[in-house]
Amino acid sequence: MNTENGLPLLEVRDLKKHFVKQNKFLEEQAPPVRAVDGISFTLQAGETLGLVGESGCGKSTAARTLLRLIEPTSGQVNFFGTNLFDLKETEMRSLRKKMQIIFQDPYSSVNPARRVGNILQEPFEIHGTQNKKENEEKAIQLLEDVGLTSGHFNQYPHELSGGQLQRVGIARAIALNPKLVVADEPVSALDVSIQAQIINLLLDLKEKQDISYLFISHDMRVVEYFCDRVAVMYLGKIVELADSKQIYNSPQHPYTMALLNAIPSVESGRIKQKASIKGDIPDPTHPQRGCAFHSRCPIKEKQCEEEIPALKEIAPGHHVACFLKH
Amino acid sequence: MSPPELDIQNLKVSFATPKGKLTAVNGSSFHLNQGETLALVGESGCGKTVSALSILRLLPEPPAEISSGKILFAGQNLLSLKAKALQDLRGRSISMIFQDPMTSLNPVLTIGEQMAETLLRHTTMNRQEALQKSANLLSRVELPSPKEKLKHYPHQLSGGMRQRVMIAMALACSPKVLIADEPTTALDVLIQAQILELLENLKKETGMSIIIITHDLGVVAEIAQRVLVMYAGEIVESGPARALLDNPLHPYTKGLIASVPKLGALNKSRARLEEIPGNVPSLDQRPSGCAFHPRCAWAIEKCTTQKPQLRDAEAHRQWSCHLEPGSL
Repeated sequence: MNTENGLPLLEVRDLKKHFVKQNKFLEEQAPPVRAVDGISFTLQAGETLGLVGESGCGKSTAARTLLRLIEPTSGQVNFFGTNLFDLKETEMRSLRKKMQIIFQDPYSSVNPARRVGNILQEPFEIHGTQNKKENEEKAIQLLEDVGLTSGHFNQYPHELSGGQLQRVGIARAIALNPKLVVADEPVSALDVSIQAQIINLLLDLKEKQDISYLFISHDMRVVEYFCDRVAVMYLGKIVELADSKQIYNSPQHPYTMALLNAIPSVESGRIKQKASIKGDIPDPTHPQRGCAFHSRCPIKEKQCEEEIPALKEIAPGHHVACFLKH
Repeated sequence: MSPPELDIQNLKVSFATPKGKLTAVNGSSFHLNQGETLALVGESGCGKTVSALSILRLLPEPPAEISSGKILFAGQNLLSLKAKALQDLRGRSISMIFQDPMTSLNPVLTIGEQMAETLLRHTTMNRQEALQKSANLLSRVELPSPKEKLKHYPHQLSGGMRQRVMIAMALACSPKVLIADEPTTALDVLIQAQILELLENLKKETGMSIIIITHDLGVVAEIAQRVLVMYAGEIVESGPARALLDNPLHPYTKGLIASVPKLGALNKSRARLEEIPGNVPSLDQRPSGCAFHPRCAWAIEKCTTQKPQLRDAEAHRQWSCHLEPGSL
């Protein structure tokens, strides 16, 4: 539903976040770490986009930068056409009602000294009304929306299990009816039997409240299940971006192929190749020339060591950054 | 058939806590065959790590207490060994690798120093020989430029490399049994695939037996021959890996397998994931009867009061459930 003039909900253009090491007296300036190095994508209202990659690929930094939880180095993020980076802090604050985040570790994302009820009233106190009675009722309603009960209202975070506390984190995120929820590895810290509960809850809320998700994960199985489109990141860049079906049925980038091949599968009869990728992600503080993936790539050619491939559309909606597929 | 490498009988481990004595492992019995990879599967608090740590007597006693049971290895009961005898055993006959390679390596010692330590303790090698052997071990776990890595400190290596160092260290004295506690959980999926492949190859080369502790059923399918599923301190199902994953018997095992999204499922339909309702019980709130009954869709009256015993279901397979096999 493009309620606001048919503009995409989120349009990220050439977003960059470089971290510069503070140089000490007389020390040579170290090159910046290009955590996010020029990524572009759009997210339509009602859509779920997965952002996947190994640790250190910049997926969490990208999410935090586009919510302006950390300031970008350059680029543009348009939220229903408004460039977030042009806004003053006060304007940004009121827009945050519409864009929320759920974190990986539920225990470290809530204040351990506050009761669950207080944690859930805080969004209303900041952005809504000061009416205490009304806020309490809303908080209780939220608890019920995420599958908890009013009995949890007076409990402290340590009295809840990880899954229950993640539900509190989700309740807090949806309190103000956001349009966009960034879910940063929302189930990675949870037990297997609890992961399915949380994923089902997120899907239910999407239906009920018309939420779009930017879903960050390293779990390719969960991403296939949950996301409409997938962006694969490697060392700060998007290397492949396409519909889930395209990514999973006909991956084009050698890195995406390797990621899919490496998933340990529960089902029998899946043909698996031996691990095709050797070695680790290269050190991001010492960027290498050419395609960032060339040092681990099984099909690299001369060009890959010299030039950086651009993200190009090779089929409708299917973007790949690889010279051999262009 | 040759006798099992390790035979654990009626192991019971509890912890003294301010909330009273909590039972983490409640009388489980299992064995590890020679040359086999056995997976211990379950969620947090199910007792899988405590079981493994008990084998090497690595739990601090107190607060931990191994109140009953036998752990038979090479004709002796490990639970009756003195501290000195246990030290001779650890790292030589039975080794262990841990989940987080950063916290299990000493950050202020070089890789070479910590690797040589094991060899100096258990063999007659001198320092020079121990370092040479360490370099060989590092190349065996496919770490590039092993000689140089000996001079590195743990923080200079990536997570995958550190886990390789841990494995090399565990293999230093060619142990009969390797216990791997979530060896790939902290690693990225590409590195995980490399480490699992490495463990497979090393097992083939050395003929050792492996106990792998994991919550990831995909890892089980990849590497294990046999599986034990644990819930709330007890074994609820055991059997050959492939048979157990294809045709789980226990409601909990069924639920676990169903709650993992299947690859390629998108092509079929996007139905809701099957979930196990409720939460993993904490040790001080163990439900009566069958510990799984509050979350079980098939629970009957009997399940709330009477604890099911682990019994044979079919050849090589056991489960603990009041229902009849095949009735679920």
